[in-house]
Parts: sequence; C-alpha cells; structure tokens
Amino acid sequence: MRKILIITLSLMLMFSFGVYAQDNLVTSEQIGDNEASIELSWAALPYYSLSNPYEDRENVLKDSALRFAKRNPDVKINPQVLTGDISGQMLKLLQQESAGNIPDVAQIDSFYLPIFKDKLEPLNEFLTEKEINDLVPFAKEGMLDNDGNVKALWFTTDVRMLYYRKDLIDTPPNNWDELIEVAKEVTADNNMEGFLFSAGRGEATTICNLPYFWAQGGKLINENGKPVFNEGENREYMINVFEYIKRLVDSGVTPRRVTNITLEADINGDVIGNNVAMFIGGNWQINQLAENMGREEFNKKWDIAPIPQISSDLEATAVGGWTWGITTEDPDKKAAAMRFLDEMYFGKEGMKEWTKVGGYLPTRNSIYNEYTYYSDNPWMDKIQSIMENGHVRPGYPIYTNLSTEFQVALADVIDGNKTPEEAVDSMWNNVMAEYEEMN
Amino acid sequence: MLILFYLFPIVEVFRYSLTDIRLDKEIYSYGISAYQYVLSNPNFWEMLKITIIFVFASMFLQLFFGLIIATLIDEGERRNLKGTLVVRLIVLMAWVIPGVIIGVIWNLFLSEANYGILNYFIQLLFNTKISFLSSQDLALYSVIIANVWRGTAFSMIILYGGLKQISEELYEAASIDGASTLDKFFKITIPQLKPVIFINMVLITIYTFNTFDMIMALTGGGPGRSTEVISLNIYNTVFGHLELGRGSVLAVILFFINLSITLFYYNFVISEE
Repeated sequence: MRKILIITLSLMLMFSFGVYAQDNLVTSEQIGDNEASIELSWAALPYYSLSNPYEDRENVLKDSALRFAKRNPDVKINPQVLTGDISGQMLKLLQQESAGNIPDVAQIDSFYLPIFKDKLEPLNEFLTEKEINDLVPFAKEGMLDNDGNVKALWFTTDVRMLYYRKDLIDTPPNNWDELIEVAKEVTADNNMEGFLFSAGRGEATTICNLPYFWAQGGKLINENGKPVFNEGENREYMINVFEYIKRLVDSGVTPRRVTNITLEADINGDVIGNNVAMFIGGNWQINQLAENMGREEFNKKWDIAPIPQISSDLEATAVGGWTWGITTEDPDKKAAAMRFLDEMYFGKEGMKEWTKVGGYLPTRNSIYNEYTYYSDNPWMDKIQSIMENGHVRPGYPIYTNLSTEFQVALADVIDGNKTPEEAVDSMWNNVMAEYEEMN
Repeated sequence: MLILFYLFPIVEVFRYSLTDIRLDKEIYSYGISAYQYVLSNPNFWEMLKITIIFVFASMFLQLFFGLIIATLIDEGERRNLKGTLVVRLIVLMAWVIPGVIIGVIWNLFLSEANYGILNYFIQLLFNTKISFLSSQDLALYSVIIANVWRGTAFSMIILYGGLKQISEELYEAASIDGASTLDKFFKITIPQLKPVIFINMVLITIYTFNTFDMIMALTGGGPGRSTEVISLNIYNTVFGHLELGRGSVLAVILFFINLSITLFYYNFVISEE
C-alpha cells in the first residue's frame, strides 16, 4: 500500500513538473529552454508578438511557439516588442543596425524593405523554387534583391479595392465615367455621398490613388531611383489622375472633406451611418465593418470590385504587407531562425493559422485553394482576383518625399488652389529639388 | 554629470545639423548643405508663417480666455459663490487630456461627416456645412481653436495663482477712492499681474511651438500643407523621410526661436524689475 502511494505521488510530481516545464517553454519573455545552445533575438510588432493585445492571436502564436520549442530543444528565442508607430519602429531597427545590435529576426514593413535589403541575410537555401512560385507575384518580386537573392519572407498582405452598395448599385462601375454616373444617380436618390476616398495627409492617400496612375502604365521612379512621373507619357497619366479627382469633386460626387480623410478606416463612420454609396478601402475593412454593422447586414448591403480605371480594360491596385528579415550571419542561427519563422508565420500551416486569426491575407496562393477557411469564403475569390494586379510602392529613398508631394498636390487640386497641370509641376519641382539634394 | 546628461543630446542635434546624415545610410559628411536646403526652400518659409500664426494666435487667445476665466473664478470666490472649484476642475480637464485624444475629440466635433457635431447643428439651422478641417483657408483656424481649448486651462491656473497674490487692501483702497470695477481691473489687476502674464506668455509660446501631437491627430498637417507647423515638419522629416540632418536643422531653428523668446522675457521683465 505504502509502495503504491509512493509511486502515485512520484508520478503526480513527475507529471506536474512535466506540465510546468512545458508551460514554461513559452512565455512572452522567452521561447525554448534556458540551457539551449542557440540563442536568437526576435523583434515583432505588438499585434504580431506573444505580448499580444488580442487573446486569440496570442493563443495561436503560443501554440505555434510551443510546437517549435518542442521540435527544436537546442534553440532559445528572446522576444522583443517594437513600440511606437510604424515609422518609429522601422527607425528603431535602423538605429539598432547602425549600433550593431539589430535583432537576429526582425519584422519589417514591406514598404521599408528596400532600405533594409542590404542589411539582411540571403535566404535562398531555405526556399524551394516551388515555394517561391507559390507566392503572389508582388511578394515574390519584393522579397528579391537586385541579384535575385531572397532577402525577406513576405508573410501577410493587404489590398485596396472599390466597396459599393450592392443593394443600391446593380453593377459596379468599371471606369471613371461610369463611376461618376452611378454615383450621381445614387446620391440623388438616397441623400448620401457618392464616392469617398482618402485625400488627406497620410500614406493612405497615396496608396489609394496611385492605382489610377499605375493602371495607365505610369511609372513613378525608374530603375536608377530617379523620379520619372513627369517625363513622357507619365506626365499625361498623372495629369489624368488629378483631372479625375477634380471631376469627382466638381461634379458633387465626392465632397471636399475627403482632404481630411487620412486613413481608409476614417470612412467606416460613413459606411456604418449609411452615408456613402462607394469608397476605396482596404481588405481589412471587411472584418472591421462586419463586426460593427453586424455580418449579416454588411453582407446584405456591401460588395467589392476592382478599382474603376480610366478605361474598362485596365486594372490596378496597391498592395502592402509585412515581412520578416534575418540579420544573423551564423549558419546555425540562420537555419534556426528560418525554422522558427516557418513554424510561426511563413510555412503553409503557420501562415494559414496566423492570417486566419489576424484577419490578414496570405501571400501563398495555395492557401487560398487548399484550406476551406479561404476557399469557402465568398470574399476571397474576389480579393485574390483583385490582388493579381497588385502594385508595390517603389522602394527608393525618394519615394517618401514623392508620396508627401502627391498628397499635397491632390489637396491643392481638390481645394481649387492649383490646376492639375500646376499641381503636377509643383510636385515635380519639389521632388526633384529633394532628389538632387540626395544625390 | 547632470550638465552632460542635458547638454549631450543638444550638442548632438547641432552636430547632426551640420551633416547630410540620413537614417538609412551609414556614411555622411559635414557641411552646411542641410541649412542651405532648408533656408532656400519656399515651403520652409510658408511653414514658418503658418507656425507663427498658430503660435501667436494661440498664445493671445489662451492668455485672453485664461485671464477672463481666472478673474471670474477669483471674483466668484470673493463673493463666496458656489461652484468655482467645479469650474476650475472642468477647465483643467482639457489640460490633462493627451494631445492625441484632443485631436480626435475635435475631429469628431468639427468634421463634415455625418458624425460631426458642430456641423450637424449648423446644417439644422442654416442648411449648409462649414469645411472646418478640409478647407485650406479654415483648417489652421480650427487647429488654433482646438489648441486654445486645450491650453486655456494652463493659462488660467498660472493667472489664478497670480491673482491670489494681489493684496486685497489695494482693491479696498481703490473702492474707497471710488474706482469702478473696470478701473480696478486695468489699474490694479493688470499691472500687478504683469510679471505673471509675461511668464505665462513665454511658457505658452514655447509649449505651442513644440505642439504637434494634437495637430497630427486632427489634420495630419493637411489639407495640403495648411496646418503643418515646424514641430510636425521635424517629425515628418526625420521619421517619414529619414532626413536626420535636415530635421536637426529645423530643430536648431526651433531651439533658437524658443531661446529668443526666453531672452525677450528676461530683457523685458526681469531687467525691468
């Protein structure tokens, strides 16, 4: 009897130690065993980290991290959280890089990726050709450097599109003329704004309006990093964009207050209040709006379509998203970092779970087809189709200035301070002054 | 040690201002090209004009309303009126709210969207809307109003403290001499408050020059460049365009503006005393 008691107690103790050890393998401060021989630092945004404000995201990440820790007992990960706004976070990474203490694994906004590419390690050896070809085209292109090396792992993306009231509009407009015509009809019949978009001071303004330029075949910056948006046909395309925006405002389809819309989500209030018939928004707004309006009501009223362009045969949109970069040169650490990212975010399973819980779009095409969460989702087919014409913002240092000048020029045109031609001239002069100073 | 702690960052800003350093490049050189670029850029002078309008309009209005509220509270206390403490607390609430939240609150208040509170009433009464935030002509005034709302409490507290220092006997003597309320205000209150008013002016001015969080949330500096003040431009230059050298030049200019205002205070108030 005494023997049985001792064995039972011993087993209970062993079991509880086991559970404790397992739980202890993943905390927000550490993943893996203290004694592990390979140690990695990993910097992520709060919403992508184990110190996550959302419990469901944290649970998914902790499950993935536990799987990783069990499969890789020789690896220990020290998480860091990048705080502040996105530019501040990227700035912090750049400063850490200059000081020689950048984390081994860092989360990098795809928009900033070109600045980081020469600071990141090539990852070619870890990806098969099949895997690379499975990625959406802009992600595949964006991950490579000029020599064709994979320098980052693009694991989530987002896309801009036209949202329209399907209960009021039978067929979504295909081009600018149609959009103005449809918006006028809806505005007259329903006492609401016809068409809203970002035109304030913020990156959303650039990313939501540049697709008009790209669809015409416009090029902002050439291969050498020199702005060319005012050269040759590009000038005409840019003037067309400003003329269209002016037409929208002059025709009453779009109110002047769009110059105070700095984020795509600023339009959510108008959507929820039944005050707008069409707008340019991001894919993440589907979930935001469905949660606020009620999924049933949102699905009943709203649908998405490609952004209408100057003519019906053209299509373009803007895409963004997040990437992971590896900075350590040590081959063992690099391989461990790659296994970690695969398990958590970039491998098919990791990406599927993460994008599902986070409400992001995967960058692997196969995920859309192979997993019912995506293949059965009525929005995904359309989003995937819109995304095929995705354009990435040019990753040259001058782009941020160009973006600011575009926002200022757009507001000048809407406010009537400048004609479209004058706005393009002013934008060009300011960008080129900056470019010449930089070179 | 303390001197080093405070001086080092300032010296670094001056050093960076004499370089062409960018945050995405490790190599940089020394020179005055950043100064030349900033000072020859017409957008800089436009931004300086906007900043000066924003700062001095905010300063005068905060001082004006702060003085009125402080005087009313002081007078209320003299007459033993109830509720003066509550008024002080309510006004102070505006001061303790973070700038970003104030930006959001005023955006909700002034917006032309269907949730814009002020425009809702304007539409009810006059069947029109006013482009408080989306007109390049009006946006700056809207930002000034929001900043005055935020800063008046600080001004009120400083002036209220000053009012409490004025001897009651001065007012009693003036009453015996037959002075009216206005006479007492202009011939006793204002002269006695003069040093406090000047301190207040300097503090408000420096504080407003450095304001950018509220503007960022309210207009983001737009429409166009119509509300882009120098401190917001420094943020955009360094964090948005990664131009640390040029951002440092703007910071140095802001530093000298603030220093000049402080010297002005010393020359015109301390030396007079």
